[in-house]
Amino acid sequence: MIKPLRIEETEDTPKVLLDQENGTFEITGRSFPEDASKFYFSVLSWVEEYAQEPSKETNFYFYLDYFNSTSMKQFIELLIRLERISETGKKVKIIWTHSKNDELMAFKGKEIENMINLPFEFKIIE
Amino acid sequence: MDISIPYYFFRLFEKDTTSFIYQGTFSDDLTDKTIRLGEHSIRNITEFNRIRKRVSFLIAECLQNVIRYEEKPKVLHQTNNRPGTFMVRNINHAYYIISSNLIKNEKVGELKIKLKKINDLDKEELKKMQQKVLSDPVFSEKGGAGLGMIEMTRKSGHKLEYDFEFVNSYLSSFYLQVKLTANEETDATRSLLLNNAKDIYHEILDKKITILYKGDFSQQSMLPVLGMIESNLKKNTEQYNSRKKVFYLLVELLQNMSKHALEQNGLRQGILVICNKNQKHYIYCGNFIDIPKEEKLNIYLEKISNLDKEQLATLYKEHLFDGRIRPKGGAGLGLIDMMRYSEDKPVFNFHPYNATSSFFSLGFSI
Repeated sequence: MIKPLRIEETEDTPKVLLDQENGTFEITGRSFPEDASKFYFSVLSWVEEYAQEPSKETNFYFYLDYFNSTSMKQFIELLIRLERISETGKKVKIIWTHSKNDELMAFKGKEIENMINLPFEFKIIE
Repeated sequence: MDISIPYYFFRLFEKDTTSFIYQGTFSDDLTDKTIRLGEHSIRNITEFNRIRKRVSFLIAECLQNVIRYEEKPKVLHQTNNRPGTFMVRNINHAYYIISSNLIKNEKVGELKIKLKKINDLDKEELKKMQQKVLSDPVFSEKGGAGLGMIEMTRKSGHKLEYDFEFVNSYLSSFYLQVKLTANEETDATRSLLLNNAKDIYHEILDKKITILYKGDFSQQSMLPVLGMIESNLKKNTEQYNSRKKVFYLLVELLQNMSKHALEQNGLRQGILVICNKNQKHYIYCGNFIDIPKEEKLNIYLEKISNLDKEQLATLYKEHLFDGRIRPKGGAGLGLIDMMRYSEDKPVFNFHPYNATSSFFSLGFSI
């Protein structure tokens, strides 16, 4: 099993927790780093390695408060990798959470859902 | 939208290394954020390292003076709608911290006497007066504003500059300017006149500017600016969603500037101006670009600013899945996204500046 990846939250980057053993896959907080491809490099590498021997079920949680357009591009990269896992017959689901009044994050989630071939579940956090 | 705003104010503050202006509601949260911005602007300038704490102190004290003593009319109309204003400017070897707020006319006389008394004292006398105020609770109660002013004068090392402007039969505007220099003895810089700050106050008021920042646009400089804008938006925008969109647009705009603005002497100089008119935010920015890049950018902006929302969404999607990695990280995507969220058609122009560079201005509304 692949070693977990933990990245602590900063003012402009999210908390990332990817732990196959505990079945935890989540990105939390705000994401607007200066260089999003640099920040997400380790995340994408982890997912690529995970894709070699993925769990039967992957529930990937996005708890985002805010992100910029270059982070969006990295999420697409991440989701394309998860799509590939689901194509091998494993279950992959995206759980997109946003606060009740947050139209922008809800809209962004729907937008991504329409571009990616994976089941999305939308959850509202009070 | 008024696309002349970025260039006009950039020229007005051309000699400033950093200028920050805030006009609106004041709170303690704003104080923390402003101090961070002040400290950040100093970090890279060695000569100011020594006085960093004093700049922070003076920012806090000045802001708290406005918070504590500002007169807020219950009913706003043309003759009294003058929100509090706060400015921090770094020009050459000096920092200027300027505040403006309304006070009741009946308090003007007493405050004038206090300020004159403080300015008449020399360093030693100021120290003695401060000790007296601190040790005598009765005196300090009467002294009220006095203690803060004494402390500011001592920390500044210069005389306080102040003025009062008649607003109506009930209220006046009180202007206060505190100067701080890295080296008091050798400071031969011509002082910024308080009249200059008063003129700026009226221009800011007239154009309904709530935030203006002129300075370096690197990501590190941006974080305190964003923090401050966010705390201001929380207070002033009831609509959670429009607030979020403003913040979203700002991040894209500022990051675009930090990546693409022309770098001169290690700094990416530019300006950000936010106006608030009739419940709508107008966001403007401006920075230098190389003349050879102007034509290409102009054509690109012409093209995307004429697309409708649906066409923009399609283009956005194309860019997202575009595998080519651009050297500066996804140029274009941010611009397209900004266009998608702007309520009015975005405006932009290029102003010839010198033989090699142009000043590029861009404006959106939410």
